[in-house]
Amino acid sequence: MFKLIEKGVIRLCAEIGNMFLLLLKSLVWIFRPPFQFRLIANQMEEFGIRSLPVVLLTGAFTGMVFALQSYYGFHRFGAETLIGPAVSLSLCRELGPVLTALMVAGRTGSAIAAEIGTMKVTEQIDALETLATNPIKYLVVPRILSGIIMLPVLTVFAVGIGMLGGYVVSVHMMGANPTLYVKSSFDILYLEDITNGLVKAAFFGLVIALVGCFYGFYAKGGAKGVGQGTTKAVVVACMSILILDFFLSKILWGISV
Amino acid sequence: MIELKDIHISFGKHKVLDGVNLEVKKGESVVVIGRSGSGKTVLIKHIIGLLKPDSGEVWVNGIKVNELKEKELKQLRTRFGMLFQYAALFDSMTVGENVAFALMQNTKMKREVIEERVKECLRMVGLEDVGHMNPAELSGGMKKRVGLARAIALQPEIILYDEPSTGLDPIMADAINNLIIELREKLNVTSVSITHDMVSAFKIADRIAMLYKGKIIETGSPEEIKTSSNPVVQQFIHGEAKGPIPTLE
Repeated sequence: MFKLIEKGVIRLCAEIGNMFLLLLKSLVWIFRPPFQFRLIANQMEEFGIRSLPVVLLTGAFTGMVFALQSYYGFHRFGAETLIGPAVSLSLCRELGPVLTALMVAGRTGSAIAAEIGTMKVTEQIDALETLATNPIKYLVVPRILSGIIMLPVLTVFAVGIGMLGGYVVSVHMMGANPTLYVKSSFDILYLEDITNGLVKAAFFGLVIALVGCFYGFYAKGGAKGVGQGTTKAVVVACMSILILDFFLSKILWGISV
Repeated sequence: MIELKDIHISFGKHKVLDGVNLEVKKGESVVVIGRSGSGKTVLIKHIIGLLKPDSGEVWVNGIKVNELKEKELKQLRTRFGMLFQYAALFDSMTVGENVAFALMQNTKMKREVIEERVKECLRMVGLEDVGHMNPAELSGGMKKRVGLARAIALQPEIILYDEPSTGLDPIMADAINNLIIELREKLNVTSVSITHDMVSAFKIADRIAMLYKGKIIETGSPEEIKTSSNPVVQQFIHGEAKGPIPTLE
């Protein structure tokens, strides 16, 4: 039993270490020419445009259900005017970045792991190397950059549509005053609520791309290995996002616990 | 031209290469034979620096490959071409883009020049009109030909062939063998092939080396290998289940 735990801990440490190594190598390659703008643009399309429908849907319904639940809560002590601020604040600081990242981890993170994993087991990554092309530069760097750029963009869309969803529910279903609702929603926000939310999103984008690439690169044993790598990529990315969210929130807003 | 000196490598507890020594002269075609899982692919991957030995030295043109830095290794690889067992074509690209890949990544050639070179390479392997197709639309033999076209795009000095005839019908396998001989004559390249297909080995080799239990146990011309007195070599080249090589290892 003890040996089993020991083995598990060693494997976990090795995985974390290798992931950091991949991150370091990628950071070095980001600044080395040639710069693959076409590949970055392709990945931005994959990360951003193709993920937009699912992110918009998630954002809209999150805003709507949050307004609905807040109404029932605040109505008990006559504080319905706080629904707008509650929705906008939670979307900008937490729900927008985190839910967007979780949806993209499921969609794009898994696709990255599956694509790179398939390339690995069919020797396409070896072929890249024999053609004098560094696989980290060619495969990992464009995905990491796209993740860092596109996650904040997607978050802006998710927060925007989420606030709109909250407005629709509050004003058209619960009869809130539209002018007051809009004013209170924006008055509560400080600039740092928005910027820190976007900084978190950028970190989540990095994590999704890095974890996806890592489990793709370490896939082995054919279709089963690729499948396992893909599952691990999604699970590890989602857990990392939630853990990182706590620490980033604490650091960015300087909240003392 | 290529020299492997006392190469040892293990994966976990499994020792794959246990002191391999092999020399390949300029312009020569050497075929390494051995059973599946005997470490042939591992051996060939050492030559191009895809794997590094636990101990030993790999020399190519007087350069010690296993001690090269990333940038130097990249430079050296532009002098190599490699055909993979299942071609390893990039399935997100068309055939033309696959062949053009190394030129786009490593040269400053203009698009028109690259297109011309791609056509030339595809013509050499007898596939002129497939540039627009996706690898998934090609047969096994066509994939190998495209893989070969991609390998020669940068006009390499050395070509490595990983099981060039595996998975092909005998006629297509012979066509690939002819293509390997033809390319060697046209481009004057040095080639190292690994295979367990003896028909292919005898046809394309100037010299054959047999890998067994992590060591090169015999080298010689095809004729010398055919008349070898080593029972292991005889059992292998005749494909007999009975003999010193156990069926299950």
